[in-house]
Amino acid sequence: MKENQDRSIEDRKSNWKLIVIGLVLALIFTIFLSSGIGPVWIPLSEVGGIILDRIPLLSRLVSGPFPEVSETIVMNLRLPRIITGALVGAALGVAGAAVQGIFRNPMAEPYTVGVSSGAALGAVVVIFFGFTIAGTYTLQIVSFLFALGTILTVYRIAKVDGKIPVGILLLSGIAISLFLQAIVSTFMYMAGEELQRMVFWIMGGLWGRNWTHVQMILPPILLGIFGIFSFSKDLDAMLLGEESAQHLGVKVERTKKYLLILASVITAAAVAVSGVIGFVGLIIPHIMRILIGPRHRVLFPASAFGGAIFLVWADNLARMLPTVGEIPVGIITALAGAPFFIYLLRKKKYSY
Amino acid sequence: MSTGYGEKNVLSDIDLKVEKKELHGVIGPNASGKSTLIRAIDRVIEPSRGIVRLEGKDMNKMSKKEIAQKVSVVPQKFSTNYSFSVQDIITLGRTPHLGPLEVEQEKDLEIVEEVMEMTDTRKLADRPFNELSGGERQRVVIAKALAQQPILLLLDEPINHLDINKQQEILNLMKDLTEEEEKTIISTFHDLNKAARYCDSLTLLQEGNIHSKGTPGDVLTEENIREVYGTEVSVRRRPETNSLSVTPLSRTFPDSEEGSRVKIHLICGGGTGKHLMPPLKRRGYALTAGVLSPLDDDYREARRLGVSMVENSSFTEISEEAAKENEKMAMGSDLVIITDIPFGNGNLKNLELAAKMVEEKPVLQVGETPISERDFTEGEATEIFRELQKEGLEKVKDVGKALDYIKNHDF
Repeated sequence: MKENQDRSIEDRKSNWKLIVIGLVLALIFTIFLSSGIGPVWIPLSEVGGIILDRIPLLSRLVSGPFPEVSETIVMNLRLPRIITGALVGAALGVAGAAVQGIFRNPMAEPYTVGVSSGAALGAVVVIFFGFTIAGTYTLQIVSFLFALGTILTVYRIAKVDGKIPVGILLLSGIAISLFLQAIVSTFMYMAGEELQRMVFWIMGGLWGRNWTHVQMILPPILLGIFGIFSFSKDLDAMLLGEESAQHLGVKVERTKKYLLILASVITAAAVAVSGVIGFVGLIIPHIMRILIGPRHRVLFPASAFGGAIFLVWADNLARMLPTVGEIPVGIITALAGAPFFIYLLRKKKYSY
Repeated sequence: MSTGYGEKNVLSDIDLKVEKKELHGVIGPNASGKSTLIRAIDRVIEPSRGIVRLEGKDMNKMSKKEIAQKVSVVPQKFSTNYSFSVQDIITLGRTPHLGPLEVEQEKDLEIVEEVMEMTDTRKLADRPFNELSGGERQRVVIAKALAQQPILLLLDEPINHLDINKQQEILNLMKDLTEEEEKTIISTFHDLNKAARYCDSLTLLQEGNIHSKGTPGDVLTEENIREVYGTEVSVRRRPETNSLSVTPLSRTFPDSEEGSRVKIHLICGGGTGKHLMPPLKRRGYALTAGVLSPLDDDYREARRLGVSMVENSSFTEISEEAAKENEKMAMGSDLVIITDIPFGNGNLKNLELAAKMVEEKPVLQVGETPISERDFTEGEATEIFRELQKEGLEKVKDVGKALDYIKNHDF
């Protein structure tokens, strides 16, 4: 066992660059392949051509025109959905890694501090009352704002003498989540025929996502991920305990605050367009830690790419499974994620 | 400097100066504020009053990062659930020297190599930190602290939970760091002997105040330790290491010069015996006492010194059983000492025992209060006392005279 562990650390040291490069390539491949998969199969050469045609410089490599139907399917239906899925997956993966680092708790995930319950309440309220104040995207905007409001409330509750003890933060997050879930349940109970829409949203799905959705979440998620990445070293130090981090000159309270805000913003953005997709934010960081170790400088990018790949493939399954209508991708992530996670836990003696 | 947690003041009026390249030890009983002092110096907690200066510079005016570049800490407990390799952990020591997005440069890796060499941890570099033994871990944590390239290194009980060989290793490393690497070290210790042997200077803390400071010789005296720790110890210089050695005195006194296994039974009570016990213990006599009740000062003193005694519950007459036990103890002794206790019906059996013993062995009374002033039994005690005197009770005025008597008496 001991030798195994030694070797795994050796492996991971020499392999992390390969793994990250592999993940980048896998994501590109995933995007191309997923654009081809669907009720109508579009050959990869065509998909490649259609996508490359729109990228400056690379467009010279391909010669159109391509069938109009294929163009419409790839560009208007599949690609925005895939990109949205990739962004959401990346956001959840990175937010999960950050939150687990802040709490030093393997059970923490992006939804722990109440973001998902807040977003769900926002969405359910919009659906229930049929609000359209902000046009077509009212639901996304309201659930985003509710999510941020929730995390601010939780943060306020947990604040003691200007400090945020993570234990109290965790518990107040859970308390507020349960409270909001009760309200959500009340709305659902009274919802009548809108119930299915609510359930579908809460379970999480990427059906019908378009370029506007991509535009809405691209800036906050990319900026948020970059912001979180800039705290890599501080969070590494905090894995040794908050006091040890202070000995290393890390401003612990400030780091916790910014990381929480950034993680909540990208989670809220993700949840606003995709609903509450579970398991990505919990298991992706764990899987990546097993593969490349706990240092966040590598863990954050790896979790971003890993989350993106995982969610896009889960969504491919959701699109393809022969069921009555499309099943929410959140069900797929849980069904596929949980057994895989258990397998990893059992296979290696894993200290996160 | 004063400091504490919230409303609670833990350290008050600490005035301490540590010279460069010194290995300074902070000692004191549990909860005397040792760890708090370390945390206050590193500014993990803020002083409520006063300032801490580093090379003459007010640490209040330094940023956390600046402090971490000059001061590093080896905490009492250091653990992580994450599977960091040893090299990962040590490299984290470079954190305060890096900008937000900066990656460790060649120079940083060289420093990591250097400190691994210094602490003999290179061979552990790729091992998971969590699987190391206690001694190895401590070396790694020290290496991490050294990677910060501090001028001042703070250690909180660095040799706790280590076996004697590993303790030695860490202490020698600390000594080398001050002598060869020109680091200044402040470290807390539980083990007074190790502190005495390795430290250039010591601070003895008592309930958040400095009780005494100076060289080990100034600080580690029998009086200081008795005052702060409430324990009788003997302090001797060990010829083989030329360092002070602090030995707690226990019921048997193999090291004592005078004690020579003379057994003394002390009959006392009402606080009359408490001044006798420490000097007798210190001189190495095997001391027993009785009959005492738990609310008595003498009882408490006997307890503290580990004197075996016969007990009786407070406010009740000495039981038959206790009296018998007391007699047995007195029979086993070479000398019975009785103090000038006031006698009432409750403790009259103590006086009766003395009267019985005087036929068997020497009985010495310490104190000269006449029996008439301390008889609360309407004459019964005076009666027995007369008997006792007739049989040859010896009397001395005070503790000093008593010690002389015992010393010159051939048992």
